[in-house]
Amino acid sequence: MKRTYIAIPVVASILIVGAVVVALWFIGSASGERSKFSSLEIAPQNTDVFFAINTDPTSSQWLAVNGSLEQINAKDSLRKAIDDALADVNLQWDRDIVPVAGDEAFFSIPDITKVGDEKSGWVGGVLLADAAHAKEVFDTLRNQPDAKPLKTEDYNGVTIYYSDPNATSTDPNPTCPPGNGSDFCLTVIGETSVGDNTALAFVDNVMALGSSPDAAKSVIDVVQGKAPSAEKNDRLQEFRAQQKQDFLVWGYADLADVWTQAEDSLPTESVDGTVDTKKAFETIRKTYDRVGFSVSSNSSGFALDLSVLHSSDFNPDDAFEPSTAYEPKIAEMLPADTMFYMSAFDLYNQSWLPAKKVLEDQTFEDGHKLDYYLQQFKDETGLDLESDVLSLFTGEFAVAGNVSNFDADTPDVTVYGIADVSDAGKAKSSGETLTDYLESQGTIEVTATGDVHRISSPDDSTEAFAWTVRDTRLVLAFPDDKLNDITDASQSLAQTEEWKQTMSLLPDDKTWVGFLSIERIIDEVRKVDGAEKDFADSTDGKVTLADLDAIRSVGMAGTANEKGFGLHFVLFMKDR
Amino acid sequence: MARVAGSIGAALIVIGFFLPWLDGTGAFAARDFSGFDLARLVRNFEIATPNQGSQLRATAIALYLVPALAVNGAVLGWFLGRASAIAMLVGGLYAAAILGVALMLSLVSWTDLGDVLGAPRLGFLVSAAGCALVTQNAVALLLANRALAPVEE
Repeated sequence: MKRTYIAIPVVASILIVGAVVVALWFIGSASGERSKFSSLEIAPQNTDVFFAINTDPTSSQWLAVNGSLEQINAKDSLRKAIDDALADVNLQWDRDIVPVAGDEAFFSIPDITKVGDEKSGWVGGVLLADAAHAKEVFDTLRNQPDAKPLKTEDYNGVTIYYSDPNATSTDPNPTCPPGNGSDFCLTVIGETSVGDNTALAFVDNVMALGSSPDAAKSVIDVVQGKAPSAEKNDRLQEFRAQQKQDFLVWGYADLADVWTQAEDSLPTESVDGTVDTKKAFETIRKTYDRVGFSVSSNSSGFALDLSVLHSSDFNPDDAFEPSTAYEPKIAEMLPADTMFYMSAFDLYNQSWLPAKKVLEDQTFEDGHKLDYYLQQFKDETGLDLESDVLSLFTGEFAVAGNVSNFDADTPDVTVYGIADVSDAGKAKSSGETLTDYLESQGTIEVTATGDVHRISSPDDSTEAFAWTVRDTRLVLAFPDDKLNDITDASQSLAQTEEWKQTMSLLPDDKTWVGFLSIERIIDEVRKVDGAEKDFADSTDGKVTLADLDAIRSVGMAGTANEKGFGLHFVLFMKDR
Repeated sequence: MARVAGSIGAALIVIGFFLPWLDGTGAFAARDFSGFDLARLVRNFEIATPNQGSQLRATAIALYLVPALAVNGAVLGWFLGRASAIAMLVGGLYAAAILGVALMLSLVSWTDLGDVLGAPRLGFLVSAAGCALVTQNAVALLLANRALAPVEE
């Protein structure tokens, strides 16, 4: 009975406390981040080019950047450079810059075709955490002895400051103060406090910027609710919806105006009578309707994602980008120390057939069509290029390799070419037919040992590459003895932490994949006599090769969906 | 009466948890942090320094436990006798301990947070008042329970 008396409150407590903690954990995870795209609320509706910049120093993005800079020992030197530069104008990073910044800033070009116009140009805005302090910082800058005087204009109760191009600095020789160790000089800020083509105003908690007072007014109108914001821009909003994660910088370009202007300058007749420029232009316009990018950071490094949105009337048959996602498996048979790797999928259906469709309509300069060349290839070699060769490549195909011995006259280069083939027997016979043909032409010299074919130049047989068909893969290696590394790879590239982490940072639905091992490159650089010292000297000792150890690899991949396609790059960082 | 007062105290702890606890300083000046924001900041530090992940996750959970234990004390207070007084006491003392640590962090630079946390704000005082109310009434309930309990010979 006594046990029950104790158990009930204990169990009830565990349930209540657990439920509240779990609820807070998930709420904190979902809404604890800064407000993404908050700058859209202060940006004018029309925009051809738009950048949103995360300015929240407490966001996970900037904290991760801080961590990454620390990993490569660059944080202190970068910070010192910024501090020194700001000290020139009596400002401090911690006191005057970071605290002032709110969640986000934006930069926008409302109409790309009117960039040069006095009243258009660009606009910008910064959400401020402390508008009063920001105004103090601005006053500090414009009261610098070498600052040019500014003109002012009142607009809807807001003072717009802008530079007078005819004014001269009160200091006859404006320069950065000498001897303060500054790595660079904030020339624009120091001399004019707003650039020669900049207007600036403080309205509510926003610093409005523009290439002219009229441009700044368009931001003021939005902040004061007198004009619609970029939140009402449907084309931008559709693009922005694709950005699920937080970012450091996000960029967008609406190419509609660019294409409209480009159309006017199109040649009226086909180039050389072979290319239908009008048709080609229409395809390009529908393919690249809107483009954008985002730069983001996380505990494992940085990511750059580029995306392209097709127009709504885009014909999927015109898509040239690969669209079939696959899992890169060829890395499983490559040596662990492989330095670079590129692979894609289904050469026949995703590359050859779309290219053939375009080429079939073309008449080449000598008056022949594609069929003529394909027939000529068959007559010469005895192979049908499409059915005997290209149609075999419907799986993954990859190029990979290694470079070492950097300080030799000719560094050692290893290259692997590997492709899945749909018919191993046909691949072998086609390969032999092709090499026999080239040998008969005197182009190459072939030595066959079992299934391995060693191919060298007739003039120099010391260097050769080898090819063979192993299971369902065509394998090529240069130099020829490296073919054994593929067989004997006790630990493969796919088993390394660099590969696994890099692939996990890339999107799942990859349509092509690239990998570059920075770790291997640095290892090879280290083997060069004096490399460590030379590198340290080149950075005045601020960064050493050891500092770069945290940079492990670069990964890249393509993705595609029904609306467009993307290119993704990641930098994987981790302390050794 | 003590149960009502205890529940009001728990509500103050929870409300205070979502109001600004501390000012930011240094790079985080012009910002303020509620208990909830502090947990978010700690979790963002986890992203920047994954090797301290478990320690930072534990810190975030320690912060989330402040309202959780306060709610627990208030809920149990309406259904259970002596156990509710203990639950309220735990909730009040735990919140007081966390507020004390937060105050210490803002005064002494022994962690990264020491450089970014400043003076206490309204939410801190609301939560502190809640702690006092919960603890006082938990003690009162405990004493009342003891007085009513049969004397064992």
